[in-house]
Amino acid sequence: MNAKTKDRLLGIILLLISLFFFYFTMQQESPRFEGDPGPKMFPLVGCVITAVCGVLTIVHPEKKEGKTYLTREEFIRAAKLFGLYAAFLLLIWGVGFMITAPVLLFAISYLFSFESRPDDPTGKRILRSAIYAIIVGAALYLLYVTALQTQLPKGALWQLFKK
Amino acid sequence: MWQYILESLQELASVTGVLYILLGSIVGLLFGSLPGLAGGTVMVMLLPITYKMNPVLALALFISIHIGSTSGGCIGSILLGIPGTSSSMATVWDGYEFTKQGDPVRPLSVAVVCNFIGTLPSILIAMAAAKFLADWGVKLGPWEYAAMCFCAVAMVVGLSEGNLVKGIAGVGLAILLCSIGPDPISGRMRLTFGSMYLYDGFNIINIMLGMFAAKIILLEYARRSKTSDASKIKVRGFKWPGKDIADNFGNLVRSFLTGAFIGFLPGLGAPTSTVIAYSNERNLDRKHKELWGHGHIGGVIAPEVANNAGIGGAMIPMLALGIPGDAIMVQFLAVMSIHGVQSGPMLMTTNPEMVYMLYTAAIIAAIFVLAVEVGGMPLFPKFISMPYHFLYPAIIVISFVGAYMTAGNLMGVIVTLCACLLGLGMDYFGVPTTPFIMMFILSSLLEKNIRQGLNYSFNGVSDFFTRPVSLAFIVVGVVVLVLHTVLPAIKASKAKKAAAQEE
Repeated sequence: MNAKTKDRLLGIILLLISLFFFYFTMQQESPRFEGDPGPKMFPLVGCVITAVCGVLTIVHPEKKEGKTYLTREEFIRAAKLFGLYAAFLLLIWGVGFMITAPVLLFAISYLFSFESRPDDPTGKRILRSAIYAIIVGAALYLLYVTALQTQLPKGALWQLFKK
Repeated sequence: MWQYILESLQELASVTGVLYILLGSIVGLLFGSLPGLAGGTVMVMLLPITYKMNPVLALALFISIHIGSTSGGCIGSILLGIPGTSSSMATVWDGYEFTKQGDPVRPLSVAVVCNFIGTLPSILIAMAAAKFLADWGVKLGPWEYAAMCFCAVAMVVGLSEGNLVKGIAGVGLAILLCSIGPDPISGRMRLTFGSMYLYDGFNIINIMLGMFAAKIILLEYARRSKTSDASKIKVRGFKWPGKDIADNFGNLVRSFLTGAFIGFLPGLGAPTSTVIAYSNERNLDRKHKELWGHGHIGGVIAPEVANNAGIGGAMIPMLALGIPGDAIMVQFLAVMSIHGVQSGPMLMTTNPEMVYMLYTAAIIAAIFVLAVEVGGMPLFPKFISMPYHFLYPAIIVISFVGAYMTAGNLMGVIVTLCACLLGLGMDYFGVPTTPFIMMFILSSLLEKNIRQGLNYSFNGVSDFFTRPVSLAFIVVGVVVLVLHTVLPAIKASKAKKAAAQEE
């Protein structure tokens, strides 16, 4: 996408966000104290600022081409790691912290090992990531559950099976 | 004052206190030295853990990480030519030249001592100035506070180089997102769309975890960042740089003052102060002009003193007025608020022990960082060779668990993921994230003070412009915005004219 189109798209997004918040702000009841502009004032200021910036970005888009933010290949790699982030959310809800933490540690360590140790054979890479995941996973469990006594999710799926 | 300092010393001199400060100093140094990461990332990651910690120790840990990280940034700059933190960017220009010439010890030794020289007096200045500023701050009303918040945001927006509109768009977005949740005056729910998960609004910790930790690691992976191989660089032990310091004493003093002053101003921070200090000294040193950029020790002294001098400067408005100058100071405020300590000018009166404890911990941390740097100098190449496949997975898991702890449910993780996407989107469209974060932090303070100002005033909005302090801050904010709009336009038209004349 060239700089001009990108800025115009940004302008449209800003306008849509502004309209969305404007609609819901206007739905809000507005009880006021004497002299107080009320709870609608600040969101409306935000809407005006966002909308004005949106219009200005559409009218005066950037013409100079900048550096590509992410190439297609880099974007796919970013999406892959973001998929793992999202998997953390699903896993921690479903199977709890005890299983999720080592699984994610293993997966991310394995992914990054391709850059850090490109010449290592796959078997070595898997073994190293697995040992790392078990040790760090256990250390985090001790830190959060034993030392800090944090209530971490135990996994909704296990609860379902118990019932 | 001395009574509080002695009490703080008693508390921090315990085995646990010393361990926390030592651990923080080492962790800060390590993360500061690694290109791509900085102490801010590790502090964001550890924020949720402080819920379970003693507040004094939590603050001591954070200030040690901050000082360690600011000091450690020079390691990557000098050994690899890649700054560990943005504040050590200017150190690359001359520091790396020494390594190329086979002498990394000289710039490293100078940098280590300059870091200490920058940190210690700046904290002493903060101790003196914050009390004075807090006494003044108590006399201010909501009009002045609102104007100060406006001025702080305007200064940060002004930094959106050549793209003021996008900087302001970031501010608008932050206002909209901050409007979700309870209204700061009446406490009534606003824009929650019927979801009880939005009743508390968005937590700044989740936003920072997503926009910093999660996004930075995502980009590091996407761009195939590799662990730097510095294992072949040999660094022998520390060498006392007395002569270098004595020869550049004027440079040191001027750079210290530049760093401390710029650190005090909101949003500008160490990256700006180091570049300004470096450029100043380069311009002033007419005798050795040709040496600058090719391995001049003054080019290491100027940025390394300036970046650490900013530490004390940035603490002043945060402790005295409750207005953070940058994202790092926000984290200190977050630790305080987690433990129910109200920031603002009354902090000095209601919790003086907390404030002096922070200063004392900072002084101890500066000494520890110096000791670790001096003793551990031969290990510096190992610091920056730490493999990412061991470091990043742990950061991600700790960040997401922290996000869960902050909200006490999965909504915290969802907000962190969304903040990561928002950060990526803003980067893609060239919307700077700093004004967004700054406004997100100051939004509720700004709204509360504007509305209180209007509530208490007899003349409506005009009170904001008739009170001298309030007017001064508004004028400064407006001037900054206008200058940043007009100056680039003048420059562009001059460049156009010059190009037309050449043709």
